[in-house]
Amino acid sequence: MDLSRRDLLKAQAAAIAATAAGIVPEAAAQPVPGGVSALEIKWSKAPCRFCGTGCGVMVGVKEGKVVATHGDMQAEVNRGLNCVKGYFLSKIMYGADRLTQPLLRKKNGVYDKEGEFEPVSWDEAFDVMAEKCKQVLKEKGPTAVGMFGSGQWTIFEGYAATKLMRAGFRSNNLDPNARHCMASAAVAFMRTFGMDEPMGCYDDFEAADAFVLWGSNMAEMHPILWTRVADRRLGHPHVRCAVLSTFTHRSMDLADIPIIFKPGTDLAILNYIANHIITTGRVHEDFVRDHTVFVKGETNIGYGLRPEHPLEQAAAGAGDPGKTEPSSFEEFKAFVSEYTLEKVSELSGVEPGFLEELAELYADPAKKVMSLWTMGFNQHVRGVWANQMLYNIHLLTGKISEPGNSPFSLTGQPSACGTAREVGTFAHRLPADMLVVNPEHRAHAEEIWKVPHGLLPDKVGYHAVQQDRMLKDGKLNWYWIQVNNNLQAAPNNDQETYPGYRNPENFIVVSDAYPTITAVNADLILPAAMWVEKEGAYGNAERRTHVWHQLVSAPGEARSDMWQLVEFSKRFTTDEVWPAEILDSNPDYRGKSLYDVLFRNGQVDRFPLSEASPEHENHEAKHFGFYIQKGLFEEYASFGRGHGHDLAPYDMYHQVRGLRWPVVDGKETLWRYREGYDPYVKPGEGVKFYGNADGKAKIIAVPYEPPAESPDEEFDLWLVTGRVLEHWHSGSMTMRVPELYKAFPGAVCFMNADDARDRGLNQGAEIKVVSRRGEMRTRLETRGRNRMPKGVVFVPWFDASQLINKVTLDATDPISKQTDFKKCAVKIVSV
Amino acid sequence: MMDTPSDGVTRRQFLAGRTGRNHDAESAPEQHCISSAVVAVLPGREDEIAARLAEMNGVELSARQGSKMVVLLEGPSSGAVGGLLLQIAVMDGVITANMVFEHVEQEVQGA
Repeated sequence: MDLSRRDLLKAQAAAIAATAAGIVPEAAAQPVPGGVSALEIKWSKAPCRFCGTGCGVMVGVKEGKVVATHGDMQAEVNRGLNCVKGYFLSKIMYGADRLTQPLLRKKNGVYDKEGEFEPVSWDEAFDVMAEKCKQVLKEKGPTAVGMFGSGQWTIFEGYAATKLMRAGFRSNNLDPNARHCMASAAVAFMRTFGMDEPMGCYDDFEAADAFVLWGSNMAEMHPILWTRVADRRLGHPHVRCAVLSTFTHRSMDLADIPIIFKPGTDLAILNYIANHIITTGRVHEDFVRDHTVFVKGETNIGYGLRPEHPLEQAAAGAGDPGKTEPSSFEEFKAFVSEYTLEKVSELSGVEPGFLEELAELYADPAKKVMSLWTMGFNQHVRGVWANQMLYNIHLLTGKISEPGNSPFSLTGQPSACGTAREVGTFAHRLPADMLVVNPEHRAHAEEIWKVPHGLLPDKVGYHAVQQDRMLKDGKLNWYWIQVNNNLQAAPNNDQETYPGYRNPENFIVVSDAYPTITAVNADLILPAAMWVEKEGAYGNAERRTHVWHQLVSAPGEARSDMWQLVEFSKRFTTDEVWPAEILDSNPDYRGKSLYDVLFRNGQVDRFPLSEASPEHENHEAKHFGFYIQKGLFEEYASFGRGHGHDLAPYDMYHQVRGLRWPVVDGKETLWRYREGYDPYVKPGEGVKFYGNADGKAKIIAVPYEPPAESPDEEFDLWLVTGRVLEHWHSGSMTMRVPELYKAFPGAVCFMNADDARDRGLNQGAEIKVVSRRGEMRTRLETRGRNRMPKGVVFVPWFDASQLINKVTLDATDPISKQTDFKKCAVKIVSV
Repeated sequence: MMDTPSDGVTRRQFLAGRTGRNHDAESAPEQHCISSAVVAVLPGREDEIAARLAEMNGVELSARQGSKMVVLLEGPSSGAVGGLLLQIAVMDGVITANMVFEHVEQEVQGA
């Protein structure tokens, strides 16, 4: 390269980075790569494919291929920055082993569960799949078919899935992998505020005086948001940061108050803080009187294990774990009074001084506090309680729904909020926070979907862990998995997940872009288009809905999950899948295909192809002959408009870098429930938690209860699982990026050096992590980025060749049904 | 036991997508990449980190203000430049390291 040109580019690079860093106050220019190929690269916006932060990226396409990505300067979320995973986005679609055609297990030319995978046409794939589905529906009914979806589904995909499963096959056995991720957060929002998702937004980062991380390693899992925390903390000397964890990780570097607690005792710490606020006279009495009510929760609620497990047998409250009864401030005060500093310090193993400092952050009325959490809180046998106990603290002090005062649940998937939660792809939900067990909600959904009254099933379907158990037990026999790698992700997978996949009674379909461990153990693999190979929409953790265009074509015969769902619906008629009595009362529906009644219903198909962007390819719109993405979105949006979940007109999202709902009169909402910010709170109301009929949030009295399994003489260590900076979830994308693979090529077991020495083990030694469920062979790491306290080991789960979930326990929060991947007992033995 | 492929590729390679092609050296035409990143470091460690960055090939410290630094990254491929960012991101004392600008130039005359 010409030297002067190189210097020019370097100067440009430096100037733009300095602007992004806030070092030079100059207007941001979009970094447009130049050079001989500049004019051939077309740049378009999209949200990142990885975590729930929802960064905006600019995607550069040349000759039909994504060749580069960079942070979008116009995106408020990341302001031009791009984390290391985001930097490699352009490579995730180009792994050499992309799936490009359907693969069916066959022997002698026909489907055979014990056969080898052979390429087949989409027609043959769907023929076999439909035949198996019809057979199961006929023999066992709708409860024997199921689907496991994803927080990585686009909004359209999740919406098409919920229509097909609930209104088509009449089954609520639809659950997303988000069940493993933030079900506890979602359920706690509903139980406390009557509405899901955070009241605040990322603008809180620049307004808070203190940050408290409860079981979150943001430095590695949410690097862009961590940058905003770091900017605030380092740029303003009064700002404090507290980090709570069961081991020391990179987020501890920024902690003014570092707290390492014994697994599970965060519950006691939360009640201690409530007690501290009350006993030091810092309750915001007006706020509590006007905006909250007190309830008392059921106790001894079990651990979500199989009913015959001794722990469940002994759990007196397991029958109705979510039960609450009315209570009062005085009762709450007496309840938390047991959680004294001395008692909680002893239980948690945390120095009293640190606990007091932490409690003071919340108690001090002059400090605005942003609490942040992810899997440490949610993957917890008392995850719903943990979430609610944190709301207790914010509600007691009135530190909520205003800039900087913000209990904020982070998410790990790009559309855990947008698709899993807002669209409602959980076994118990319908769109816009509605529930399958509520007859009015079902009737409303039937009306919007223009399907017969009484069609939608009224029982909650199987949740994620229950799906695995029912597959194993032969009660769930036809199962479609899209955009997730559950055989790697599920707990106790060798005992409870894998047997169900290979159960001869079952037919397992996996739609994926790559041959994951889940795919290669299925019966039929469907090749999926990914990310910008299709038009899409995601919803991030701050209620931001972000839409993108199809920018490249998927390889070979790979098709989007939405295409697969809608195309598959053509193979069923109402007569084959709906009960005779429904059709007798509604004869107009007779003989129609599910495609006709679900997707050609005069709503989904009402926007002509001509409304799709002429500048972009849109494979699905062309295939179906109408602008299906817009049709699905607008029908879906009609659930929430006027009910606090308002979305903007679809076309607007193509123009902006996302909008935070509710979007009313074209304006997004940054802080919900507070007058002046939220259009649903009328003048004079001040604060109104309008998700609940009385407009009030609930403060709940619930105790510390121990984890399902704790170390004992034989299995003498706590096992915590989680993620690392370089890899995203099961690694199916990031392990295919050479640089990310090389940076962290395989799982290791992080262990305290003294613990290792006591067992005669050296750094790098080959070991086995063994539990009552199974074992996993790996190498010992006593150094590195995670520094373990004695008695605790950490193993990341991204590595398909070292499956730590053979070891984990399938205990869940009994209320949210989310697995606790953070607490089980193991031993480490040398190999 | 969970299924594994049997085409000579090891189970581990298959499941991780390393079937021989994904992780080969990049076969793209010769390139020169220039990127910039913003690095935040722990207060009090600025000089130490700056010195370590200066020792890295392809890394140039462009600006410093407080605990924030702007670094320029250069390399023969975007992967190489991304690899530098990864090294910096996990460096002890570094709080965050994020990319901002990326330029990839196809070499026509050699650099």
